[in-house]
Amino acid sequence: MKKLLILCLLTSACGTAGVSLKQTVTLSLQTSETLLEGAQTIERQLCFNTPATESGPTCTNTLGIAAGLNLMKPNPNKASELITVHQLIAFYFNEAGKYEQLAATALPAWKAGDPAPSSVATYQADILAVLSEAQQLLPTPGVKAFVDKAQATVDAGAVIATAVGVK
Amino acid sequence: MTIAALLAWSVAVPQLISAGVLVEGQVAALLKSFHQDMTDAQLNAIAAVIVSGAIKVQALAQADMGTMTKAAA
Repeated sequence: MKKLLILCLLTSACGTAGVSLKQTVTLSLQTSETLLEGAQTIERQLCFNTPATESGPTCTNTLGIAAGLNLMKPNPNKASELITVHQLIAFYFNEAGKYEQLAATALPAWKAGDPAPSSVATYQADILAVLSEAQQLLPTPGVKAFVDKAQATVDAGAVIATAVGVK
Repeated sequence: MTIAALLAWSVAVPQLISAGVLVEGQVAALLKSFHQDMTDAQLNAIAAVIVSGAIKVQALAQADMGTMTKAAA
């Protein structure tokens, strides 16, 4: 018994077995949310010279401009309308924030065996879209940090999606 | 429990048991305290923190989106 207890400490297996699934997914969503905020902060630092006071569709920071944040792409809501890459990323951040709120409300009430809340899959799709846009930027200083943070956000989201059984 | 705390425990616990400071029951109780299920109230409190952070993300994002068409045409 003594050896078993020590083994539990060494492997932390006791921890994963003792904690409910909904606790795991709620805490993973909290992790993902913190990472999402971090990714947005890095992207806005790349985009703006003074992100605390600047906002809008056009970037002013030469690093972000060189990375391609001011290039134009079609608006996913209206293909004939061109928007900046920064606007497009902001759009996906906004969508991620919306579905994250819905997931945060749904997950504490969710139980193992229940259908996966649809907000989880939509949230995951939105943060994947942020990651995809980040990966298409040119590798100027700061871009790697943005990609890494977006990837970590996606990874935390994937834990939730897998746990609740998103297909 | 963080990896660092886990490693510290992995070193300390056998020594404490050998020295008779901790008995198995106490170790089990300590483990339980680390890995206890949160109450619904605690989970709801975490959910409120998530919602608050997500609202902040949305506010900044919406300021940056400007006048772009925001819903599918």
